[in-house]
Amino acid sequence: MKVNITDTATGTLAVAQALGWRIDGATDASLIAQGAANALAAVAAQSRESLFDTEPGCFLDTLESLARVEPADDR
Amino acid sequence: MTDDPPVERTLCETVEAIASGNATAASELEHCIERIEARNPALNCVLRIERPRATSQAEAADLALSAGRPPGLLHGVPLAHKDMYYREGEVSSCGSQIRRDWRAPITATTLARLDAAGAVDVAALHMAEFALGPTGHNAHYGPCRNAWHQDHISGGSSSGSAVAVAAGLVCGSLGSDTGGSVRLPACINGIVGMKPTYGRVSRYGTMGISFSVDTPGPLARNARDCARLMSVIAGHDASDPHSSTLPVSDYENACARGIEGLRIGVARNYFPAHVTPEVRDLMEASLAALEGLGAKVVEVTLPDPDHLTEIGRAVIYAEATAMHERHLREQWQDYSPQVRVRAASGVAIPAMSYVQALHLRPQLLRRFVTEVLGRCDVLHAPTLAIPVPTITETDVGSGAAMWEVIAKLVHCTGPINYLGLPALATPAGFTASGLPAGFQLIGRPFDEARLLQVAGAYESVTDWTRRRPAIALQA
Repeated sequence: MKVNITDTATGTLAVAQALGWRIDGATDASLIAQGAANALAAVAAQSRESLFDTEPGCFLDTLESLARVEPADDR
Repeated sequence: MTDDPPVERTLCETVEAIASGNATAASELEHCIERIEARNPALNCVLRIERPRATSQAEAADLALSAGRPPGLLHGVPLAHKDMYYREGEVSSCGSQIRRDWRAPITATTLARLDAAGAVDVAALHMAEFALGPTGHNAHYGPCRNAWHQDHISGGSSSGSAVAVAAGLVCGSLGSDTGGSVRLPACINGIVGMKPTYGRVSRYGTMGISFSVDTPGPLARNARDCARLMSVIAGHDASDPHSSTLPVSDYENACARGIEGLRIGVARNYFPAHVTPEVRDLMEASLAALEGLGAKVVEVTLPDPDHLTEIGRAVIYAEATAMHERHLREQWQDYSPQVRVRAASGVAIPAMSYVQALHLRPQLLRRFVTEVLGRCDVLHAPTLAIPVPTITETDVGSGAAMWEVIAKLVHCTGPINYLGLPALATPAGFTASGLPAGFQLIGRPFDEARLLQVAGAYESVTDWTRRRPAIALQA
Protein backbone atom coordinates (compact mmCIF):
# COMPACT_ATOMS: atom_id res chain seq x y z
CA MET A 1 0.00 0.00 0.00
CA LYS A 2 1.29 3.46 -0.87
CA VAL A 3 0.05 6.46 1.06
CA ASN A 4 -0.53 9.66 -0.91
CA ILE A 5 1.54 12.28 0.88
CA THR A 6 -0.22 15.27 -0.66
CA ASP A 7 -3.62 14.00 0.45
CA THR A 8 -2.25 13.17 3.88
CA ALA A 9 -0.74 16.65 4.17
CA THR A 10 -4.03 18.26 3.20
CA GLY A 11 -5.83 16.19 5.80
CA THR A 12 -3.16 16.93 8.40
CA LEU A 13 -3.49 20.66 7.85
CA ALA A 14 -7.26 20.46 8.17
CA VAL A 15 -7.12 18.48 11.41
CA ALA A 16 -4.41 20.70 12.90
CA GLN A 17 -6.43 23.81 12.13
CA ALA A 18 -9.55 22.23 13.58
CA LEU A 19 -7.60 21.59 16.79
CA GLY A 20 -6.63 25.24 16.92
CA TRP A 21 -2.92 24.69 16.27
CA ARG A 22 -1.15 27.54 14.60
CA ILE A 23 0.63 25.08 12.36
CA ASP A 24 3.22 26.50 9.99
CA GLY A 25 0.98 25.94 6.99
CA ALA A 26 1.70 23.54 4.21
CA THR A 27 5.42 23.15 5.06
CA ASP A 28 4.89 21.52 8.44
CA ALA A 29 1.88 19.59 7.19
CA SER A 30 3.91 18.14 4.35
CA LEU A 31 6.74 17.08 6.70
CA ILE A 32 4.27 15.54 9.11
CA ALA A 33 2.64 13.66 6.27
CA GLN A 34 6.00 12.38 5.05
CA GLY A 35 6.81 11.10 8.52
CA ALA A 36 3.47 9.38 8.89
CA ALA A 37 3.17 7.91 5.40
CA ASN A 38 5.51 4.94 5.87
CA ALA A 39 4.04 4.19 9.28
CA LEU A 40 0.51 4.06 7.88
CA ALA A 41 1.62 1.88 4.98
CA ALA A 42 3.40 -0.55 7.30
CA VAL A 43 0.40 -0.87 9.60
CA ALA A 44 -1.85 -1.53 6.63
CA ALA A 45 0.55 -4.10 5.18
CA GLN A 46 0.71 -6.08 8.42
CA SER A 47 -2.99 -5.86 9.28
CA ARG A 48 -3.93 -8.93 7.27
CA GLU A 49 -6.53 -10.17 9.73
CA SER A 50 -9.67 -8.34 10.64
CA LEU A 51 -9.81 -7.37 14.29
CA PHE A 52 -13.16 -9.19 14.32
CA ASP A 53 -11.25 -12.46 14.04
CA THR A 54 -8.54 -11.93 16.66
CA GLU A 55 -8.44 -11.55 20.41
CA PRO A 56 -6.92 -8.41 21.90
CA GLY A 57 -3.76 -9.16 23.85
CA CYS A 58 -2.07 -7.39 26.75
CA PHE A 59 1.45 -6.60 25.61
CA LEU A 60 3.06 -6.85 29.05
CA ASP A 61 1.39 -10.24 29.59
CA THR A 62 2.79 -11.40 26.27
CA LEU A 63 6.28 -10.24 27.20
CA GLU A 64 6.07 -12.02 30.54
CA SER A 65 4.78 -15.23 28.99
CA LEU A 66 7.60 -15.26 26.46
CA ALA A 67 10.18 -14.63 29.18
CA ARG A 68 9.69 -18.22 30.23
CA VAL A 69 9.99 -19.71 26.73
CA GLU A 70 13.13 -21.78 26.25
CA PRO A 71 14.92 -21.57 22.90
CA ALA A 72 14.40 -24.28 20.30
CA ASP A 73 16.37 -27.40 21.11
CA ASP A 74 18.92 -27.18 18.34
CA ARG A 75 22.06 -26.25 20.24
CA MET B 1 43.77 7.05 49.85
CA THR B 2 43.92 4.84 46.79
CA ASP B 3 46.67 5.35 44.21
CA ASP B 4 44.15 5.55 41.39
CA PRO B 5 43.01 9.07 40.56
CA PRO B 6 39.22 9.31 40.96
CA VAL B 7 38.68 9.86 37.25
CA GLU B 8 40.00 6.41 36.44
CA ARG B 9 37.71 4.56 38.78
CA THR B 10 34.64 2.86 37.43
CA LEU B 11 31.32 3.03 39.25
CA CYS B 12 31.86 -0.22 41.14
CA GLU B 13 35.46 0.72 41.97
CA THR B 14 34.27 4.06 43.33
CA VAL B 15 31.74 2.38 45.60
CA GLU B 16 34.43 -0.03 46.83
CA ALA B 17 36.88 2.84 47.44
CA ILE B 18 34.33 4.70 49.55
CA ALA B 19 33.14 1.60 51.40
CA SER B 20 36.71 0.61 52.26
CA GLY B 21 37.65 4.08 53.47
CA ASN B 22 40.03 4.85 50.60
CA ALA B 23 37.82 7.73 49.51
CA THR B 24 34.85 9.67 50.83
CA ALA B 25 31.61 10.58 49.13
CA ALA B 26 32.41 14.23 49.81
CA SER B 27 35.82 14.03 48.13
CA GLU B 28 34.37 12.14 45.15
CA LEU B 29 31.73 14.81 44.78
CA GLU B 30 34.29 17.62 44.84
CA HIS B 31 36.42 15.85 42.19
CA CYS B 32 33.28 15.32 40.14
CA ILE B 33 32.25 18.98 40.24
CA GLU B 34 35.82 20.07 39.40
CA ARG B 35 35.74 17.81 36.34
CA ILE B 36 32.37 19.14 35.23
CA GLU B 37 33.51 22.74 35.58
CA ALA B 38 36.72 22.03 33.65
CA ARG B 39 35.33 19.92 30.82
CA ASN B 40 31.71 20.89 30.32
CA PRO B 41 32.45 24.09 28.37
CA ALA B 42 33.83 21.91 25.56
CA LEU B 43 31.10 19.28 25.79
CA ASN B 44 27.86 21.00 26.84
CA CYS B 45 26.59 17.79 28.42
CA VAL B 46 25.61 19.26 31.83
CA LEU B 47 22.66 21.65 32.10
CA ARG B 48 22.78 22.34 35.85
CA ILE B 49 24.97 21.32 38.77
CA GLU B 50 22.82 20.63 41.82
CA ARG B 51 25.49 21.30 44.43
CA PRO B 52 23.41 21.80 47.63
CA ARG B 53 21.44 18.58 47.18
CA ALA B 54 24.50 16.59 46.10
CA THR B 55 26.52 17.86 49.04
CA SER B 56 23.76 16.87 51.42
CA GLN B 57 23.58 13.38 49.89
CA ALA B 58 27.37 12.94 50.03
CA GLU B 59 27.50 14.05 53.67
CA ALA B 60 24.72 11.61 54.52
CA ALA B 61 26.60 8.79 52.80
CA ASP B 62 29.80 9.54 54.73
CA LEU B 63 27.91 9.87 58.01
CA ALA B 64 26.22 6.52 57.47
CA LEU B 65 29.56 4.79 57.08
CA SER B 66 30.98 6.60 60.11
CA ALA B 67 28.00 5.33 62.11
CA GLY B 68 28.83 1.78 61.10
CA ARG B 69 25.91 1.25 58.76
CA PRO B 70 26.54 -1.07 55.79
CA PRO B 71 27.21 0.67 52.47
CA GLY B 72 24.54 0.74 49.79
CA LEU B 73 25.13 -0.69 46.33
CA LEU B 74 25.86 2.82 45.05
CA HIS B 75 27.24 4.28 48.26
CA GLY B 76 28.53 7.80 47.67
CA VAL B 77 28.97 7.38 43.93
CA PRO B 78 28.44 10.52 41.82
CA LEU B 79 25.75 10.09 39.17
CA ALA B 80 23.82 12.51 36.99
CA HIS B 81 20.77 11.95 34.82
CA LYS B 82 18.93 13.04 31.73
CA ASP B 83 16.90 16.11 32.65
CA MET B 84 13.59 14.27 32.50
CA TYR B 85 13.78 12.33 35.76
CA TYR B 86 11.59 14.21 38.18
CA ARG B 87 12.54 15.14 41.71
CA GLU B 88 9.80 16.77 43.78
CA GLY B 89 10.09 20.54 43.88
CA GLU B 90 13.06 20.69 41.49
CA VAL B 91 13.31 21.89 37.91
CA SER B 92 13.10 19.30 35.14
CA SER B 93 13.39 21.06 31.79
CA CYS B 94 13.02 17.98 29.58
CA GLY B 95 15.48 19.74 27.28
CA SER B 96 12.78 22.21 26.29
CA GLN B 97 12.02 25.89 26.38
CA ILE B 98 8.44 25.08 27.34
CA ARG B 99 9.47 23.39 30.61
CA ARG B 100 12.62 25.41 31.26
CA ASP B 101 11.45 26.44 34.75
CA TRP B 102 8.92 23.67 35.41
CA ARG B 103 9.17 22.07 38.84
CA ALA B 104 8.21 18.45 39.28
CA PRO B 105 5.43 17.56 41.73
CA ILE B 106 6.73 14.02 42.32
CA THR B 107 10.00 12.09 42.49
CA ALA B 108 10.78 9.35 39.99
CA THR B 109 10.82 5.85 41.43
CA THR B 110 14.18 5.27 39.77
CA LEU B 111 15.72 8.30 41.51
CA ALA B 112 14.22 7.22 44.84
CA ARG B 113 15.82 3.80 44.40
CA LEU B 114 19.20 5.30 43.50
CA ASP B 115 18.96 7.59 46.54
CA ALA B 116 18.16 4.63 48.78
CA ALA B 117 21.23 2.81 47.44
CA GLY B 118 23.40 5.74 48.51
CA ALA B 119 23.99 7.46 45.15
CA VAL B 120 24.78 11.17 44.90
CA ASP B 121 22.77 12.97 42.19
CA VAL B 122 25.12 15.70 41.03
CA ALA B 123 23.59 17.34 37.98
CA ALA B 124 20.89 17.52 35.35
CA LEU B 125 22.12 16.47 31.93
CA HIS B 126 21.58 17.62 28.37
CA MET B 127 18.98 15.84 26.25
CA ALA B 128 17.14 16.29 22.99
CA GLU B 129 14.15 18.59 23.33
CA PHE B 130 11.41 16.38 24.85
CA ALA B 131 13.66 13.39 24.00
CA LEU B 132 12.67 13.74 20.35
CA GLY B 133 15.95 13.53 18.45
CA PRO B 134 18.74 11.01 17.87
CA THR B 135 21.62 13.44 17.19
CA GLY B 136 22.23 15.52 20.34
CA HIS B 137 21.20 18.79 18.73
CA ASN B 138 19.12 21.08 20.87
CA ALA B 139 17.97 24.47 19.58
CA HIS B 140 17.43 25.84 23.10
CA TYR B 141 20.57 24.64 24.90
CA GLY B 142 23.01 24.15 22.01
CA PRO B 143 24.38 20.85 20.74
CA CYS B 144 25.92 18.33 23.11
CA ARG B 145 29.35 17.36 21.76
CA ASN B 146 30.92 13.94 21.36
CA ALA B 147 33.34 13.00 24.11
CA TRP B 148 35.89 11.71 21.58
CA HIS B 149 35.74 14.49 19.01
CA GLN B 150 33.79 17.62 19.72
CA ASP B 151 32.92 18.30 16.07
CA HIS B 152 30.89 15.09 15.99
CA ILE B 153 27.45 14.37 17.34
CA SER B 154 26.87 12.99 20.81
CA GLY B 155 23.89 10.96 19.70
CA GLY B 156 20.56 11.29 21.43
CA SER B 157 18.23 11.66 22.94
CA SER B 158 20.21 10.75 26.10
CA SER B 159 23.06 12.91 24.81
CA GLY B 160 24.33 14.33 28.11
CA SER B 161 24.15 10.95 29.83
CA ALA B 162 26.52 9.29 27.38
CA VAL B 163 28.96 12.18 27.12
CA ALA B 164 29.13 12.79 30.88
CA VAL B 165 30.00 9.13 31.49
CA ALA B 166 32.41 8.79 28.56
CA ALA B 167 34.24 12.00 29.50
CA GLY B 168 34.64 10.82 33.10
CA LEU B 169 32.44 13.49 34.63
CA VAL B 170 30.25 10.98 36.46
CA CYS B 171 30.31 7.21 36.99
CA GLY B 172 26.88 6.42 35.57
CA SER B 173 23.65 7.91 34.36
CA LEU B 174 20.04 7.22 33.56
CA GLY B 175 18.74 7.83 30.06
CA SER B 176 15.62 6.64 28.28
CA ASP B 177 15.12 4.66 25.09
CA THR B 178 12.04 4.94 22.87
CA GLY B 179 13.80 4.47 19.52
CA GLY B 180 17.45 3.99 20.46
CA SER B 181 17.99 6.94 22.79
CA VAL B 182 20.16 5.03 25.26
CA ARG B 183 21.92 2.71 22.82
CA LEU B 184 22.80 5.27 20.15
CA PRO B 185 24.60 7.79 22.38
CA ALA B 186 26.24 4.95 24.31
CA CYS B 187 27.62 3.55 21.05
CA ILE B 188 28.59 6.94 19.69
CA ASN B 189 30.59 7.76 22.83
CA GLY B 190 32.12 4.32 23.38
CA ILE B 191 30.34 3.25 26.56
CA VAL B 192 27.74 0.64 27.58
CA GLY B 193 24.01 1.39 27.54
CA MET B 194 21.06 -0.82 28.40
CA LYS B 195 17.52 -0.61 27.06
CA PRO B 196 15.68 -2.96 29.43
CA THR B 197 12.58 -4.94 28.56
CA TYR B 198 9.42 -2.83 28.50
CA GLY B 199 8.04 -3.02 32.04
CA ARG B 200 11.32 -3.96 33.73
CA VAL B 201 12.15 -0.45 35.01
CA SER B 202 9.52 1.93 36.36
CA ARG B 203 8.64 5.03 34.35
CA TYR B 204 6.84 6.68 37.27
CA GLY B 205 8.05 10.26 37.58
CA THR B 206 9.76 10.43 34.21
CA MET B 207 8.79 12.48 31.16
CA GLY B 208 7.01 10.33 28.63
CA ILE B 209 7.07 10.29 24.86
CA SER B 210 5.05 7.16 24.31
CA PHE B 211 3.71 5.25 27.31
CA SER B 212 3.49 2.03 25.26
CA VAL B 213 7.16 2.12 24.30
CA ASP B 214 9.22 4.30 26.71
CA THR B 215 11.94 2.52 28.66
CA PRO B 216 14.33 4.07 31.19
CA GLY B 217 17.82 2.62 31.06
CA PRO B 218 21.33 3.04 32.49
CA LEU B 219 24.56 4.14 30.81
CA ALA B 220 27.95 3.33 32.31
CA ARG B 221 31.53 2.60 31.36
CA ASN B 222 31.29 -1.17 31.37
CA ALA B 223 28.91 -4.09 31.73
CA ARG B 224 29.43 -4.56 35.46
CA ASP B 225 28.67 -0.90 36.21
CA CYS B 226 25.59 -1.14 34.03
CA ALA B 227 24.56 -4.31 35.88
CA ARG B 228 24.97 -2.58 39.23
CA LEU B 229 22.68 0.26 38.16
CA MET B 230 20.14 -2.21 36.76
CA SER B 231 20.12 -4.18 39.98
CA VAL B 232 19.09 -1.01 41.83
CA ILE B 233 16.47 0.37 39.43
CA ALA B 234 14.82 -2.81 38.06
CA GLY B 235 11.78 -4.40 39.63
CA HIS B 236 8.09 -3.95 40.17
CA ASP B 237 6.66 -0.56 41.01
CA ALA B 238 2.98 -0.32 41.84
CA SER B 239 3.03 3.34 40.76
CA ASP B 240 3.67 2.35 37.13
CA PRO B 241 0.71 0.40 35.72
CA HIS B 242 2.97 -1.16 33.08
CA SER B 243 5.52 -2.48 35.57
CA SER B 244 6.25 -6.20 35.53
CA THR B 245 6.06 -8.33 38.68
CA LEU B 246 8.61 -10.87 37.41
CA PRO B 247 11.61 -11.31 39.72
CA VAL B 248 14.85 -9.48 38.96
CA SER B 249 17.88 -11.53 37.89
CA ASP B 250 21.37 -11.33 39.37
CA TYR B 251 22.78 -8.99 36.78
CA GLU B 252 26.20 -8.40 38.29
CA ASN B 253 27.14 -12.06 38.66
CA ALA B 254 25.97 -12.66 35.09
CA CYS B 255 28.81 -10.46 33.83
CA ALA B 256 31.41 -13.02 34.94
CA ARG B 257 29.70 -16.22 33.81
CA GLY B 258 31.41 -16.86 30.47
CA ILE B 259 29.63 -17.76 27.23
CA GLU B 260 30.85 -21.25 26.32
CA GLY B 261 28.17 -22.87 24.16
CA LEU B 262 25.91 -19.81 23.85
CA ARG B 263 24.42 -19.18 20.43
CA ILE B 264 24.94 -15.68 19.01
CA GLY B 265 22.45 -14.90 16.25
CA VAL B 266 23.44 -12.80 13.25
CA ALA B 267 20.78 -11.58 10.85
CA ARG B 268 21.05 -12.45 7.17
CA ASN B 269 18.70 -9.60 6.27
CA TYR B 270 18.09 -5.96 7.21
CA PHE B 271 21.33 -5.07 9.04
CA PRO B 272 23.90 -6.20 6.41
CA ALA B 273 22.32 -4.11 3.65
CA HIS B 274 22.86 -0.85 5.51
CA VAL B 275 26.19 -1.31 7.26
CA THR B 276 29.23 0.49 5.89
CA PRO B 277 32.36 -1.62 5.24
CA GLU B 278 34.37 -0.34 8.20
CA VAL B 279 31.50 -0.88 10.64
CA ARG B 280 30.97 -4.34 9.12
CA ASP B 281 34.64 -5.19 9.69
CA LEU B 282 34.32 -4.23 13.36
CA MET B 283 31.15 -6.33 13.66
CA GLU B 284 32.95 -9.35 12.21
CA ALA B 285 35.90 -8.85 14.54
CA SER B 286 33.54 -8.74 17.53
CA LEU B 287 31.87 -11.95 16.42
CA ALA B 288 35.27 -13.62 16.05
CA ALA B 289 36.09 -12.59 19.62
CA LEU B 290 32.82 -14.07 20.86
CA GLU B 291 33.51 -17.30 18.96
CA GLY B 292 36.95 -17.36 20.55
CA LEU B 293 35.17 -17.39 23.92
CA GLY B 294 33.29 -20.54 22.96
CA ALA B 295 30.09 -19.05 21.56
CA LYS B 296 28.56 -20.38 18.37
CA VAL B 297 27.47 -17.92 15.68
CA VAL B 298 24.21 -18.87 13.93
CA GLU B 299 22.46 -17.10 11.08
CA VAL B 300 18.84 -16.02 11.50
CA THR B 301 16.30 -14.23 9.34
CA LEU B 302 14.37 -11.33 10.82
CA PRO B 303 10.63 -11.34 10.01
CA ASP B 304 9.50 -8.07 8.36
CA PRO B 305 12.12 -5.87 10.06
CA ASP B 306 11.39 -2.82 7.88
CA HIS B 307 7.81 -2.80 9.10
CA LEU B 308 8.68 -3.01 12.79
CA THR B 309 10.17 0.46 13.07
CA GLU B 310 7.40 2.00 11.00
CA ILE B 311 4.55 0.35 12.90
CA GLY B 312 6.26 1.45 16.08
CA ARG B 313 6.21 5.01 14.77
CA ALA B 314 2.44 4.84 14.40
CA VAL B 315 2.24 4.10 18.13
CA ILE B 316 4.92 6.57 19.22
CA TYR B 317 3.65 9.48 17.11
CA ALA B 318 0.03 9.00 18.13
CA GLU B 319 0.88 8.89 21.83
CA ALA B 320 3.46 11.70 21.66
CA THR B 321 1.04 14.02 19.93
CA ALA B 322 -1.68 13.20 22.43
CA MET B 323 0.74 14.21 25.21
CA HIS B 324 1.89 17.36 23.45
CA GLU B 325 -1.51 18.51 22.19
CA ARG B 326 -1.98 21.31 24.70
CA HIS B 327 1.54 22.63 24.21
CA LEU B 328 1.11 22.39 20.43
CA ARG B 329 -2.07 24.46 20.69
CA GLU B 330 -0.84 27.04 23.21
CA GLN B 331 2.94 27.23 22.78
CA TRP B 332 3.52 26.18 19.20
CA GLN B 333 6.22 28.83 18.79
CA ASP B 334 8.25 27.58 21.77
CA TYR B 335 9.19 24.31 20.07
CA SER B 336 12.19 24.13 17.76
CA PRO B 337 10.96 23.55 14.18
CA GLN B 338 12.10 19.92 13.97
CA VAL B 339 10.71 18.87 17.34
CA ARG B 340 7.44 20.68 16.63
CA VAL B 341 6.99 18.60 13.49
CA ARG B 342 7.90 15.38 15.28
CA ALA B 343 5.68 16.11 18.27
CA ALA B 344 2.80 16.87 15.92
CA SER B 345 3.23 13.86 13.63
CA GLY B 346 0.54 11.86 15.38
CA VAL B 347 -2.08 14.16 13.92
CA ALA B 348 -1.58 12.26 10.67
CA ILE B 349 -2.04 8.84 12.31
CA PRO B 350 -5.72 7.86 12.25
CA ALA B 351 -7.03 6.32 15.48
CA MET B 352 -7.76 3.19 13.45
CA SER B 353 -4.07 2.78 12.51
CA TYR B 354 -2.96 3.40 16.10
CA VAL B 355 -5.29 0.70 17.40
CA GLN B 356 -4.18 -1.70 14.68
CA ALA B 357 -0.51 -1.01 15.46
CA LEU B 358 -1.08 -1.82 19.14
CA HIS B 359 -3.12 -4.89 18.28
CA LEU B 360 -0.36 -6.24 16.02
CA ARG B 361 2.27 -5.91 18.71
CA PRO B 362 1.82 -9.17 20.67
CA GLN B 363 1.54 -11.12 17.41
CA LEU B 364 4.71 -9.64 15.92
CA LEU B 365 6.58 -10.07 19.21
CA ARG B 366 5.65 -13.77 19.38
CA ARG B 367 6.77 -14.27 15.81
CA PHE B 368 10.10 -12.52 16.39
CA VAL B 369 10.81 -14.46 19.58
CA THR B 370 9.94 -17.76 17.91
CA GLU B 371 11.71 -17.24 14.60
CA VAL B 372 14.76 -15.31 15.82
CA LEU B 373 15.28 -15.71 19.56
CA GLY B 374 14.10 -19.31 19.44
CA ARG B 375 17.18 -20.07 17.37
CA CYS B 376 19.78 -18.16 19.34
CA ASP B 377 20.40 -16.97 22.88
CA VAL B 378 21.08 -13.38 21.85
CA LEU B 379 20.96 -11.50 18.58
CA HIS B 380 24.07 -9.51 17.63
CA ALA B 381 23.66 -6.43 15.44
CA PRO B 382 25.35 -3.09 14.85
CA THR B 383 24.03 -0.26 17.00
CA LEU B 384 24.81 2.39 14.39
CA ALA B 385 25.35 1.22 10.81
CA ILE B 386 27.46 4.19 9.77
CA PRO B 387 30.49 6.05 11.17
CA VAL B 388 29.54 8.80 13.63
CA PRO B 389 28.58 11.90 11.59
CA THR B 390 29.51 15.47 12.43
CA ILE B 391 27.25 18.01 14.09
CA THR B 392 27.20 20.04 10.87
CA GLU B 393 26.26 17.09 8.67
CA THR B 394 23.20 16.33 10.77
CA ASP B 395 22.11 19.91 11.50
CA VAL B 396 19.14 19.76 9.13
CA GLY B 397 16.50 21.40 11.30
CA SER B 398 13.06 20.75 9.85
CA GLY B 399 14.37 20.67 6.28
CA ALA B 400 13.62 18.05 3.67
CA ALA B 401 16.48 15.83 4.87
CA MET B 402 15.09 15.57 8.41
CA TRP B 403 13.39 12.20 8.10
CA GLU B 404 16.29 10.73 6.14
CA VAL B 405 18.85 11.71 8.80
CA ILE B 406 16.66 10.33 11.59
CA ALA B 407 16.00 7.09 9.70
CA LYS B 408 19.72 6.48 9.09
CA LEU B 409 20.58 6.92 12.75
CA VAL B 410 17.81 4.77 14.24
CA HIS B 411 17.83 2.11 11.54
CA CYS B 412 19.38 -0.57 13.76
CA THR B 413 17.77 0.38 17.06
CA GLY B 414 14.19 1.27 16.08
CA PRO B 415 12.73 -2.21 15.44
CA ILE B 416 13.56 -3.39 18.95
CA ASN B 417 11.55 -0.71 20.77
CA TYR B 418 8.23 -1.66 19.21
CA LEU B 419 8.88 -5.27 20.28
CA GLY B 420 9.70 -4.21 23.85
CA LEU B 421 12.76 -6.47 23.94
CA PRO B 422 15.90 -5.79 26.01
CA ALA B 423 19.02 -4.63 24.19
CA LEU B 424 22.50 -3.71 25.35
CA ALA B 425 24.90 -1.50 23.38
CA THR B 426 28.60 -2.05 23.92
CA PRO B 427 31.68 -0.59 22.21
CA ALA B 428 33.60 -2.66 19.64
CA GLY B 429 36.35 -0.42 18.28
CA PHE B 430 36.87 2.74 16.29
CA THR B 431 36.28 3.78 12.71
CA ALA B 432 38.93 5.55 10.63
CA SER B 433 37.79 8.94 11.94
CA GLY B 434 38.68 7.87 15.48
CA LEU B 435 35.06 7.73 16.65
CA PRO B 436 33.64 4.71 18.49
CA ALA B 437 31.50 2.01 16.90
CA GLY B 438 29.73 -0.83 18.63
CA PHE B 439 27.22 -3.62 18.57
CA GLN B 440 23.99 -4.27 20.38
CA LEU B 441 22.87 -7.54 21.88
CA ILE B 442 19.15 -8.22 21.77
CA GLY B 443 17.57 -10.81 24.02
CA ARG B 444 14.36 -12.52 24.95
CA PRO B 445 11.97 -10.61 27.21
CA PHE B 446 13.44 -10.02 30.69
CA ASP B 447 16.71 -11.72 29.72
CA GLU B 448 18.87 -8.69 30.51
CA ALA B 449 21.23 -10.93 32.48
CA ARG B 450 22.12 -12.85 29.32
CA LEU B 451 23.01 -9.64 27.52
CA LEU B 452 25.26 -8.60 30.39
CA GLN B 453 26.79 -12.07 30.43
CA VAL B 454 27.83 -11.76 26.78
CA ALA B 455 29.01 -8.18 27.14
CA GLY B 456 31.01 -9.07 30.26
CA ALA B 457 32.69 -11.96 28.47
CA TYR B 458 33.48 -9.74 25.47
CA GLU B 459 35.07 -7.15 27.76
CA SER B 460 37.31 -9.86 29.20
CA VAL B 461 39.12 -10.25 25.87
CA THR B 462 38.92 -6.68 24.53
CA ASP B 463 39.84 -3.29 25.96
CA TRP B 464 37.28 -1.04 24.26
CA THR B 465 35.50 -0.16 27.50
CA ARG B 466 38.83 0.79 29.05
CA ARG B 467 39.76 3.23 26.28
CA ARG B 468 39.23 6.83 27.31
CA PRO B 469 38.80 9.97 25.21
CA ALA B 470 41.49 12.62 25.55
CA ILE B 471 39.19 14.93 27.46
CA ALA B 472 38.69 12.26 30.16
CA LEU B 473 42.43 12.15 30.78
CA GLN B 474 42.79 15.86 31.44
CA ALA B 475 43.85 16.75 34.95
